[in-house]
Amino acid sequence: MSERIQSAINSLVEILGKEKVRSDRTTLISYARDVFMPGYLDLRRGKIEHLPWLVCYPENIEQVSKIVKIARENKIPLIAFGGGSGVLGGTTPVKGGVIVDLKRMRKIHSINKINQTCKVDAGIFGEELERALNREGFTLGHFPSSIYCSTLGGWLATRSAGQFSAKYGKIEDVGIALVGVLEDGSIFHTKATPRSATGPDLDQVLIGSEGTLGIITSAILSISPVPSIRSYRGFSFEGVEMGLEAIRVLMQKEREPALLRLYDPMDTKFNASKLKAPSSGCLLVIGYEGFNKERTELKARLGFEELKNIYGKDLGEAPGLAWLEHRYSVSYNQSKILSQAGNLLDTIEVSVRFRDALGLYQRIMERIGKIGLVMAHFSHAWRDGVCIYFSFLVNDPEPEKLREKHFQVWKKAMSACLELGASISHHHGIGFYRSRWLKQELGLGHQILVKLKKELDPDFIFNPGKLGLGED
Amino acid sequence: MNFKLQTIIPELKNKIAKIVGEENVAQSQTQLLSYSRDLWPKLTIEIQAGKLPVFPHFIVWPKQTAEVQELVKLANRNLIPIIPIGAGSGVCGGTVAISGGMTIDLKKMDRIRDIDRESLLLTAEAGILGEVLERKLNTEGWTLGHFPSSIYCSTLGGWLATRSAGQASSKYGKIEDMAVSLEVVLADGELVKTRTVPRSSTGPSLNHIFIGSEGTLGIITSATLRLWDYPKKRAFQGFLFPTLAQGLNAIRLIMQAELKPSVLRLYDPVDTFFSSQGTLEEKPKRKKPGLSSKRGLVKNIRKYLPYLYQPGLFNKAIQSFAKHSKLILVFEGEPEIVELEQKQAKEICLRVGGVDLGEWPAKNWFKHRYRVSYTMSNAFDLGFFVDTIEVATLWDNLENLYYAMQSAISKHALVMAHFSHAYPQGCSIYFSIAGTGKTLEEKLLCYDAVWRSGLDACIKQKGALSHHHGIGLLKAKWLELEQGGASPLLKALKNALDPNQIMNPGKLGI
Repeated sequence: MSERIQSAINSLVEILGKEKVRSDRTTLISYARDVFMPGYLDLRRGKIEHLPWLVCYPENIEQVSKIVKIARENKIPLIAFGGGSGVLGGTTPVKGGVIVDLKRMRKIHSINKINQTCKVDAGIFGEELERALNREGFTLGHFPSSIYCSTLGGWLATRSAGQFSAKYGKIEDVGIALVGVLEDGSIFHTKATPRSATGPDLDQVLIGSEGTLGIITSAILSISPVPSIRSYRGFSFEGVEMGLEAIRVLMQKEREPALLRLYDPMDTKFNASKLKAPSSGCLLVIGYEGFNKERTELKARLGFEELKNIYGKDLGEAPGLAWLEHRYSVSYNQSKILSQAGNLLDTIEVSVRFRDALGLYQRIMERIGKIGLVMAHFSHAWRDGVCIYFSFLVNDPEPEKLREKHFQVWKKAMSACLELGASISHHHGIGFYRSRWLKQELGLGHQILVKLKKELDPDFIFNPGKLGLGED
Repeated sequence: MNFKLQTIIPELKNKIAKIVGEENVAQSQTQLLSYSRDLWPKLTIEIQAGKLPVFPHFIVWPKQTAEVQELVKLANRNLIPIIPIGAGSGVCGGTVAISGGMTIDLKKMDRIRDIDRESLLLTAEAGILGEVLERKLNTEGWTLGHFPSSIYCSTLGGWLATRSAGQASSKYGKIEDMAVSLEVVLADGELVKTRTVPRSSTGPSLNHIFIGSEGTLGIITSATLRLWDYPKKRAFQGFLFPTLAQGLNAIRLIMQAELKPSVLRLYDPVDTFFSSQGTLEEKPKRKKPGLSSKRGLVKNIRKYLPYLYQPGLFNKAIQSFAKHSKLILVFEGEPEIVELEQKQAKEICLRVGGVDLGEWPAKNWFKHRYRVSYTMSNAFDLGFFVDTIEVATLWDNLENLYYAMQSAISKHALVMAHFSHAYPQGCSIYFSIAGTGKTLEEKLLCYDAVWRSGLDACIKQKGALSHHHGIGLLKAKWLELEQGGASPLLKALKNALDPNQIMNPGKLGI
């Protein structure tokens, strides 16, 4: 280890204390990867490509500021780390460096019932925050399936979206103001206001920056009263086309639900028994919920009526309630499949306007269906389009070939998105794995990010190699 | 730079003409004069005082994006400032050519490029006037839902550049919620197009770099916008509250009850007094036009004009007897939802002590909703000035901010306010101000004192400097305080995107 790094370690120990700076091998290995699926192949073979140099655990923003100053002085990469549940290698220390684990910064500073806001540190786990809010009669409304193992800071850094995003918004809608540290160690607090016209919205530049522009240490978030009523149903459609049409009509005719998931025929078959639905056709799980009971009931009634008009078959409450019960289980079922040698499972979520949704779905299914088992659902609908969420399984006894198959699936899916003007990511982010396609997605826009990076972080301290922002 | 500019002007004119055609570049004094200012009231006072505003060197009217790119390249090569302008209805000096240069008027770029009926998306060029766009949509059965009172004299590009918000923003959102993707010409002449997708997680939002950038980071030439079905039903309501606090409580409860009125405007007691004389009647007996805020002020001010010279006393006097606050609500959209929301909003208003004024106040407001922008010149003719200061904050800080700014401004000018953009988390405050001075010089001093005291109080009380008018030149010196240590981000954007500092210099303080 070079002198420069040793000197940085000494300074970090001085600031944080010995027990908050760790460099033992077990610790380093546990922070070497996130839940990026091909990482499992390497792990199985005992191969770890990128180890951090050390892991530190700051407890307040002043410590984060000092860590940044030390890193800057010594040109050492810093990787902000939350729950480590990212799926694209966003926290992988591709250039080595120091992991800044923020999970000791997990305080809820305030829950303001008048403003319906809370101020929370970035390292808090989603579920912990949600339960604390629930005890006060509120909800954040942000429910990614990783909620048990992802943090507020991670959500903001990756532009997360939760299962009920149609009602409560995505993380960028929920985040009202940010607190964090820039490359020179300076601390910023953006203004807590419902809205302003004071130049570009700087929060929106930091949200989604995946730790490459600064470290977010806390945020002021909007919260909503816990729903007083929930109305969940299942509907069955003949095929994807009719199902998509139903989604479009609901979203555009002011019948937007909180939850909406349309499963394609394969995904329907796969989930039928768990979701108490017929295994043929396309299952739509739909849920209305709200604090305003009468309004929620009215919207649900209008929505359900509309679905019947579009030839949806009402399956009653059972599929909706079953979904609700199992909504986080998907993240924890994968290990069964993954633990079998020769298997690799992954998901790809993309975003597309309604006009091109069916075309994109068909194109991707056709291209990647030849390589592995693939299914999809449509979730996160907006007034102008949807997210398509593909799940796929590829199989090969040879790890290298398996990895190649996995890459081919990604490549074909990503290129289909780029061809049709869709987006390569709806809510998982870019990390290092998607970086190669990001440049195509953003076109000249990527150059804007490159230039911004050079202005804000000329030494590439912050999470190098992510968002296609490396030194190379 | 100016010296150099002088020497190369003739040559530049030829080059510009080559790009856009002879007929699309102007240099006459009349033309330059008309583009020398926007609707920033201070500039009007200065003109009255005989002080000429600064002129750009050229006015140029490109007809397509490629021409804008060529113009920007030319300017960048020659280090000439560029000032994009739409309809020039800004009120903060955002399009004033403080270092001269080329004013690029985008109004000849006003085509609708694409309509995607399935995704309800429309792509239009930046120079289209708001009202033209809205009427076109209406004929197809749609609405954009964006209704700033400047809609007849503001453009899509101006809305995006300044982060505009319309009168119906509680239902349809603000301009940043409507814009799905942008086409932007950068300072080096390159063209960036963001993706037309409902949402993505592909790094920082590029749209948000340009929305609100006031022409300092690039020129927005086109945008794709989300549309709504034209409302099937509209419902109007008015209420009067014994106190402002009750009115504020009502609008907070409405916004936190998952109701989405398209219009919600609560007038403070002084504004209520000026706009309706605080009447409790459903309809005035005499046929008297219902006046909205600034318009009411201008109409009524004639008789009060002498008192404007003693603003402190005048404010105190009116505040001592004006106690009621008027609220108007409009709900629109799907009939059954409109009916329910209207019913629930009424229950909330009555519960917190409001008196039902019936449909009339809101209907009448609706009828005259754009008129306010066209009454300002009367005020200046009468010898005083009017201006507006719109700020925003979270609910628990709203009354503090309101009283802090009201008291700061009261010493210098007559001040009243309405609360017109409410959210579950907070609300905007829209102060209308009337002031004067014995000489034009005193008038200008008064004008500056109003803004200085108002915005100093705003920053001190943690309000946001602007809710929807933007920064321009007027508020630039407060912006760094507003940004709370995040200003390096904006400066980095500027250096990254416009290293030669040619894009609308001096705006946003950069």
